[in-house]
Amino acid sequence: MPDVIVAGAGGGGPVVAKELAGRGLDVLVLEAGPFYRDPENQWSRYENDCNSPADGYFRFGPSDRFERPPWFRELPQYAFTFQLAGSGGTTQHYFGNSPRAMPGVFTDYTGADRGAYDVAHLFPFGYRDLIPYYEWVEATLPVQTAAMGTKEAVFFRGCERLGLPVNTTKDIQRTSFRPQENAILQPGGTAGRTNDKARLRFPEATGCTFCGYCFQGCLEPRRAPRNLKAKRQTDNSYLPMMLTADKWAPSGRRASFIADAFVTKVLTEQRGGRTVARGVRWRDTRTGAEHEETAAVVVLAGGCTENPRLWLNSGLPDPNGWVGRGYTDHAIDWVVGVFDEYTGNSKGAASSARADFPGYGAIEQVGLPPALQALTMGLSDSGVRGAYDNGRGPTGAWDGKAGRVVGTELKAALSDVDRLVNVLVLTDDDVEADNRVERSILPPDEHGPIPKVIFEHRNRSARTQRNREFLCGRAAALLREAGARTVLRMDFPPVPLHVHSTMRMGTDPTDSVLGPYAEARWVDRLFVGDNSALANALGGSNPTLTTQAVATRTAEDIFTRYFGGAAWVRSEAPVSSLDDRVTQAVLDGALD
Amino acid sequence: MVGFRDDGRVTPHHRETGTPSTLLGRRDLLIRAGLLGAIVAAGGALPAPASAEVPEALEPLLELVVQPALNLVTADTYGGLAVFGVPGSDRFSAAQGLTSDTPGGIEAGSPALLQHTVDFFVSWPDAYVHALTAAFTTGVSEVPIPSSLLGGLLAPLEKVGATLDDVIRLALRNDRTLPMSLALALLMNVAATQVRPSSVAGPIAGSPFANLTHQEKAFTFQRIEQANPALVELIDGHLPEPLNETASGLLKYAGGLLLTLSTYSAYTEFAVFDRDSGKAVRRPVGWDLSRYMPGRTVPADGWNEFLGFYQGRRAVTTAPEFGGD
Repeated sequence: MPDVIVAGAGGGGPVVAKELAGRGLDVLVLEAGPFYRDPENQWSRYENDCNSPADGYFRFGPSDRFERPPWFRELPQYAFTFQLAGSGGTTQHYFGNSPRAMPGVFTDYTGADRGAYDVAHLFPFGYRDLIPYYEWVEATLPVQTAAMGTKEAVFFRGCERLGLPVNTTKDIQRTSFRPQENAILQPGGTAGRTNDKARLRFPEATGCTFCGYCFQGCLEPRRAPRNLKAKRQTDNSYLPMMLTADKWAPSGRRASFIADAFVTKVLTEQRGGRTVARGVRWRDTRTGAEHEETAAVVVLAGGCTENPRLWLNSGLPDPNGWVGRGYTDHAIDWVVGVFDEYTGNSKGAASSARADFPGYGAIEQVGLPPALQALTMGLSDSGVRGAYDNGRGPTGAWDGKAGRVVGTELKAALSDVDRLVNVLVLTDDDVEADNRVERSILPPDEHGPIPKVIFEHRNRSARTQRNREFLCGRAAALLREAGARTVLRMDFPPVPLHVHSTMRMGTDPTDSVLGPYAEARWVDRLFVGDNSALANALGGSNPTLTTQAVATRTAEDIFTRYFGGAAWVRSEAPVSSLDDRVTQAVLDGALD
Repeated sequence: MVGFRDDGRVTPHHRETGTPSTLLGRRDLLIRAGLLGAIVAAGGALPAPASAEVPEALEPLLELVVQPALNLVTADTYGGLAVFGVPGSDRFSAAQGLTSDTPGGIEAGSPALLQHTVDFFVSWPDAYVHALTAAFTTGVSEVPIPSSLLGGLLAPLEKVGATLDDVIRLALRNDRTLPMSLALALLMNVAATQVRPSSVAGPIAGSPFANLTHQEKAFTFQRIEQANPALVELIDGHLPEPLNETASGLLKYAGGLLLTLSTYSAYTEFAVFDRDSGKAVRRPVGWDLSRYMPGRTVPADGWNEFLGFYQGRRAVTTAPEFGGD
C-alpha cells in the first residue's frame, strides 16, 4: 500500500509526488492519459497532428488517439477548454511563463491599492509566506529570465514608448513591463544562433533553440536527456525527478507512475465521526480493468474540471455547494497587431515578454505558427467583423469592432505570419459562483457522469469587465506605439487556458472547499494539488508557478501532519531538475 | 418528437409522425410565400415536391442513393463553410461571390478536416445524433436529389421528385449510423433556408448553405450563434427531456465551433500529412498563404533568432521589499 496516491500528472501532481518521494514516502501517481517516453520520435510538432482537439497528440482523451474519440465535456456555451491528458498535463503545451502572483491577492497585503483586487476571495495566507516556496520551485525547475527575439524587441519598443517602467525583480509591485520569468532554459552554445539542424543537437546546443513550438511540446535540443530539454513542462522536470528520487535525495524513494489510469472514485470511510479518504478506484483506459488502491493520503490533481467531477461522482460531501464553483480563467482576450516589418512571430519561445497592471491583470506577447494563429482569429464572442456582432463588438483603440476575422480579411492579415505580434490579455477576474463545473445530464462516459463547464461570461462582474476592457486598450495602444499598421481585437469567448479555483482554498468556510493547506474541509487526508486549489485568479498572473509553489507547501504539510516528518523548504537547499544525478538516472533508463 | 427505445436507439421517425412543418413541406410554404417564381427567375430549378410524396414502393431504390446523397450533403456544406473561412478560386468560393486569387480552404482540404474533427470531437451517442439529424432534416427538404446521383435505374425517384430529406428520413428509419457532421451540416442548411429560402436551388447541388453569398453565410451563423427561436424550436421538438433544455447552448457551441474551425483548418498540414511517417509530403497550402518557413515541409529545430537579453539582464531575484538581496 503506498503512503500517498496522487491522481493526475499535470502541472501540480508531480510536484507533490516529487517532494514526498524525496522525503522517502511511497508515492503512486496515476495519470489518465499516455506517458510519452520518446517525444523526439512521438511528437511531430505539426499543428493539427498535435493540437487537433479530436485526435491530436495533445488532446484530452485515451492513448489510442486515432481509434477512440476524446473525452467529451459539455459546454453549454461557445467555449474551448483545452484540457490535455498525459504526463505533464497542460504543461505539455504551456509557454513556461512563471510569474509570481500579484501580492494584492493575499491576506498580508497592505498596499494603497489593496481594494483593487478580488478582496472577497483572498488566499488564506500571506504572500510573504509563499516566497520561500516560490524560490524553491524557481530553483528546481529552474525559472530563468527569458531571452529576446524580434517579437520581444517589438513588444518592448511599444512598452518603452508607452512610458512603462521596467520591473527588475521577481515580484510585481507596480505597473511595469519586463522579460518573462520563464521555466525555459536560456539558449546556450549554438541554440538561437543557427538555422542548421545539424548544429542544434545537444550538447553543442543547450536550452531554447527558438524553434517556435512551445504549444506542440518541447523536445529541443535534440539528443538532450529528457530532464535537460529547454521547456520545463513537468514531464521534463518534476516527473523525471519523482522517478529518480532515490538517486538525488539522501533518503528518497522512487515514485511509482501508472499512465492510462483514469481515477473514477475517491474511496472514503468514517472514522470518529469524520469522513476520511482511504484510496481511489481507477480504470485502465486500455483494457477497461478496474482497480482499487488504498493509501494514507490522497491528492487530487486532475485539473479544474476533472477534480470537481471526481468529487461529485464519488458522492463526497459538498455542504456549502462550492465544489466546482468559482471557476476563474482570466477572461482572456486577444489583440493582434499587423506590422509592415518582420516580427519573428512564429519563432522563439511562445511568450517571452509581459507587462503587469496590478489591480487589472497583465498582458503578454504570444507568438504562434499559422494554424493556431488562424484559430485565434476565428475565436470571438462578437460574431463576424463587418456582418454581425452578437450584441457585443466592442470598439476602442483597435481598428473597427472586435470580432472574427474571416475570408479575404483573414487572408490579408495572415499573408505573412512573421509580420504579426499577438498580445494575450490576462484579466484579474473575480471568483464568481455561477462560473462552475456541474455534472452533465448528457450520457455518462466509461468513467461516469461527465462534467459540464458553465461560464456566465456575459455576466461577469463589473470589475472583471472593466479590467478586461482596460487591458485590451493597453494592448492595442502598445501595438500602435510599437508600429502596428492594423490592430485587431478578437473578444474571445471563454477559452480557459488558465484555469483556477474550482476547488478553492479560502479564508471563509462558506465559500471555499479547502483549508489553508489545501486539505478538504469535509474529508480528512484528502488534498488538492493543482490549479483548482488556488483561491483566486492570482491577480492575472499565469498560474503554474503559483500552483507549484502551493503544491510544494501542501506536500510539506502532508509530510509533517500525517507522516511525522519535519519541514524542509526553509531549512534546505533545493536540488535542481538539471542536477547531474537526475541526468544520469534518466540516461540509465529511469523513465523507461 | 423522437423517443428513445429501451436499447437507447432513437425511435424511427416515421413520415406520418413528422412535425407539422415537415408534413406541410417547405415547397408548400414557398408557394404560399410566392417565392417559387423568384427561385426560377433567379435561375434555380423548381424545388421538388415535399418529401412525404415518395411512395414506399420506391424505398429500395432510395436506399441505393443514401450513402452518396449523405456524402454529397456533408461535402457540399463543409465546402461552403471552408471557403467562408478562407476563400480561394474554386466553385464554392464562386458560389458565395467572394473569391481570392490564392488557394483557399478547398485546396487545403478543409472540408474533410472539418467533417472529421466534428465527428470525432463531438462524440455524442448515436441516439442524440439521430435526434439532431431529425430536427434539422428540413434543411434539405426542398433540395432535389441531384441527377448526378440518379443513374438510369433510379429514374422513378426523379419522376416523383425525391428530395435529399427523403434520403435522410430513410436513413433515420433504418437506424443507420449517422455522423455528427451530417447533423451540423443540416443545421447550417436549415438556418440558410431561413436566411434565404431560394438557396435550396443554386450551383452547389447538395447544400443551400453553400449557395449563399458570403454575407448571407455570416447571417446564417448569426442565427445559429444567437440561438434563433426557430432553430431552438426544432431542437426542442426532437430532443427528449431534459436534453431539449440544452438547445440554446448547443446552438451557440456548434456555431462557434464551426466558425473557429473554418479559419484554423485551412492553415493546417492536414491535407498533405502522412500519418505513417509523421511528416508532410509537400508544402501545406496554409504555409504558403502565410509565408511560413519558406521552402520547408518539416518543422524546424531552431532559428537564428536570439537577440540577447533585455538591458543585458540575465537574472532577477526577489525584491528587497520582500526580503531579496
